[in-house]
Amino acid sequence: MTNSKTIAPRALLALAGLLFTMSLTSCQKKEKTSSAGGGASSQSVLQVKGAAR
Amino acid sequence: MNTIKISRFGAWVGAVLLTAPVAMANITNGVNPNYVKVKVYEVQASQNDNCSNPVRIFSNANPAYVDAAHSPTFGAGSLPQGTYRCFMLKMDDHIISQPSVDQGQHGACVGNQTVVTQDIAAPHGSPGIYSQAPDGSHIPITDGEEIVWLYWRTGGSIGGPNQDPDMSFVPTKGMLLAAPVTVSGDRDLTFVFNFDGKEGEDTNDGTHYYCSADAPVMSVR
Repeated sequence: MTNSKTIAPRALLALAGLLFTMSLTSCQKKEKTSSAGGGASSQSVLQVKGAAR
Repeated sequence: MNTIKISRFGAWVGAVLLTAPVAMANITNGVNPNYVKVKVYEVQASQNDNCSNPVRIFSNANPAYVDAAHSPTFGAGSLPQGTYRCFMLKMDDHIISQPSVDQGQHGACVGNQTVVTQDIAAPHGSPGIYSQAPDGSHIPITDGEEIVWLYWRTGGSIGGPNQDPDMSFVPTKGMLLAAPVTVSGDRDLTFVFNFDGKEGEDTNDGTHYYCSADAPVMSVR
């Protein structure tokens, strides 16, 4: 006789939900870091010059 | 930050800009100047064609006249990256130049000697005209010297004050900026005051001659 343990569908759903939430939080953290830190500058330096032709 | 010279952007630069005659003289067979001295106080830029919400690039309360022929730097400053459709230049309306060679038959224009002061903002018989600053204040345009705002915008006109004396000096008109300017990195922005072939003798009565200059061709690149 085989002893089989089954995981209730409700527990599976809860686990999936937890994993999804953790993954979402991780993504949001990464976005925040890149926009506040190492991203390209949104300002440029302009040298305003004159010319006669 | 890196500063990239405009010469490295030849093709890019070629995309930008335009012309506007700015005065009323009528010189034939004019000669080139050997210098063009201008005094620039401030430059602003707007991403909007109506020049609203401008951003100041730099401001200098006490600038000196500098020779545009020697590629001077008027000032420098930072600007948010984006696409700009209006540029505003605060400058003295007197531009000082000198013919590089003799011109005319009456001895009025002596090369490398005669000094010509061109009043680029003058009423030309239209009293009450003014220049409008980006903050909305008005500066009366007279036959004398004043500090005015010049505008280039994508909705501007190729013509200039030859037809309408205040055309270049108010944000609702302005000279034509042929294409928007995209700022995506450090770069030069160059204002051109071209008097080539514009210097020569002029007269109001056919008797008395003086050395003058026709309207410069002005552009932004």
